[in-house]
Amino acid sequence: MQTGRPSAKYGVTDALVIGYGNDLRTDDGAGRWVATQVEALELPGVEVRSLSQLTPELSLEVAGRGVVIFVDASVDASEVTVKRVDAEPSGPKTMTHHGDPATLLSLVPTVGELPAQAYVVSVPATNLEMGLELTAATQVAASEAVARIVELLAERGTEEGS
Amino acid sequence: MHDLVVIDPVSRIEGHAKITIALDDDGEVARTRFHVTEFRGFEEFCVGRPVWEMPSLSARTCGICPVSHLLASSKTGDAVMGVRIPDTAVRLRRVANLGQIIQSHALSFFHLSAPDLLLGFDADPAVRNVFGLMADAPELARRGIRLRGFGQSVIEAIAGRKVHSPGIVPGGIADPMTEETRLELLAGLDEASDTAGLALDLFTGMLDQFDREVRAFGEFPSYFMGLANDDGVWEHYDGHLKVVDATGAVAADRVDVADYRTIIGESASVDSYLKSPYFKPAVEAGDPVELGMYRVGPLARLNVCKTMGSPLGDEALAEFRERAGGVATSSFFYHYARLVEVLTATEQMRDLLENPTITDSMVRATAGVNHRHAIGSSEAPRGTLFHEYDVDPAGLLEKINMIIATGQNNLPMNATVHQIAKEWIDGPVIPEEILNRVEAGIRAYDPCLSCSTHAIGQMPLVITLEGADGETLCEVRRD
Repeated sequence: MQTGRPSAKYGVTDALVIGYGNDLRTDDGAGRWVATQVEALELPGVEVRSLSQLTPELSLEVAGRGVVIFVDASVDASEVTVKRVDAEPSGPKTMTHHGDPATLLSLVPTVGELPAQAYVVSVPATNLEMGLELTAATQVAASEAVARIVELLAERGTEEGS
Repeated sequence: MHDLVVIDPVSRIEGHAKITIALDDDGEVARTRFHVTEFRGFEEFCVGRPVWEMPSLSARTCGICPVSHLLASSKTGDAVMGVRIPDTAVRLRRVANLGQIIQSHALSFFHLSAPDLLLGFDADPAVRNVFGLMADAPELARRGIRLRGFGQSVIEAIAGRKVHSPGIVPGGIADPMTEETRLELLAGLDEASDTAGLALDLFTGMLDQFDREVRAFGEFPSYFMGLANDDGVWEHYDGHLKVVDATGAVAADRVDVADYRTIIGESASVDSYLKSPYFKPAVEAGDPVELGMYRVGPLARLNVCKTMGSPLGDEALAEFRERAGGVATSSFFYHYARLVEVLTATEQMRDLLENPTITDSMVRATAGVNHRHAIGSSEAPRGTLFHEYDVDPAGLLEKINMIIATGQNNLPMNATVHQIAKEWIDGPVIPEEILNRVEAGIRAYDPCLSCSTHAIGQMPLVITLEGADGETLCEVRRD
């Protein structure tokens, strides 16, 4: 099983963090804000992407990873949540120009191996109007999400090392 | 009794829309409307920002074709500064736009439309999607993903990031291309070109099965508009505006993009946030704007140009025109035109990357504000895109107008829905396969309503069928 992949910045990377959303829509940019913070930590073996949306060719980057963490804003969440996510067993009925993590994972077997683990980190969002800054509450939650992701990656590193 | 069908939401396109179909007393389709129910706000949101930020901001209008907005916005910025950007910057912008065309067309064909074409419009909707395609034709699905991945890697190489790239700026390009990058991109071109060729063979091999769709998916006369150059070669980045009619006769040519308002008028309707641009010279005062209906995008670009300017592209164009009987007037041929463009894009990209000057370090001109009003244009995958700005002496934006490709195809999309409804709807119910054909008629234009209305989200559709008295007889929803 492939457990790492080349990255110009980090050498061989096993983990991929994808923060996505619209950073011109106030709290909708929480996932991208988290991605930026995680990238600034320069964690070894961790590659980070900040994107507006999930698109099919991302399956090429997800394939073969040890762990993939998707980070998105959620108006349905009241607190930061970390949940395992698997490929849709049969796929959704329709697919437009962008998709969700389960849909994206469903595409991966076409181009490579599914990641060993995949998670969705949801950051509570309350304001999706036009705006460049996160609201104070989402800012706090996004900071917590960064800490949870670092913890998740560290735990995983410990498990692999043990 | 007068019946009405509403399709809401339309699926597998970007944005949010509904379709209303009214039947007459005999149960025949009397009229149809394609409404866009999202609201645009981008032009207001960006007022007050520096013009230098506008490429990066406007690229966020759309996650599918950000390079198109980067280019149109940066070209408008070039004009605000009044600079002629370095030749290498022009070449790099062209390569980026070719990468954009490749990735966007790959998504449209392989992910959004191939399920209909390969599995059939009447196939079980549970399998008539990209996952059904993966099961039925895994190698094709894999190639589609990799082709789009290649296009995205081109964008990333030049613009710095795959989506909402900041590397294309007023004055040129932020960073020169390295030799390593040039070689990496060249190495990916063979597979991209092979995939385009395979897709073309596949499509032309299937075309005879879709005779009825060719005749009913937007087969009507209209004008066609695109950027053109003096050599008549397929153009996607620069040049002037050219308009031809359904016979191929030139209706307007050598129109400077800054004078686009001399040939393009805009009308609005109360039931849609999408305006309806029209070819102004064809519409006298009091005439219906439909007389000036024109199409933009791949179909129009192939109808406007004389040649594709590359061997494989020209071979494909010759066959395209032979199959279309000259000027292609069926919107079903948008799919075909996209594949011809992808193949051509790989050839033109190779020519540009093999030019040693592509790694030249001189890629950006700098200047302050020298013009308070400017217009820039480029060919987005979906058609001609205009940005128009007014700025204050410090370069802060005072007024913004964007004319988006999908908006320009509003009238033909409406006409296409009407034609499909007339062809297939018979009575006050809408079977799933008919719903899918109505949707597919819109999908042929690959509309990006998020972009054209400047809102976010995917594109669900509702179709409503109304009676003569306005009563809703049937409503079909695709979330």
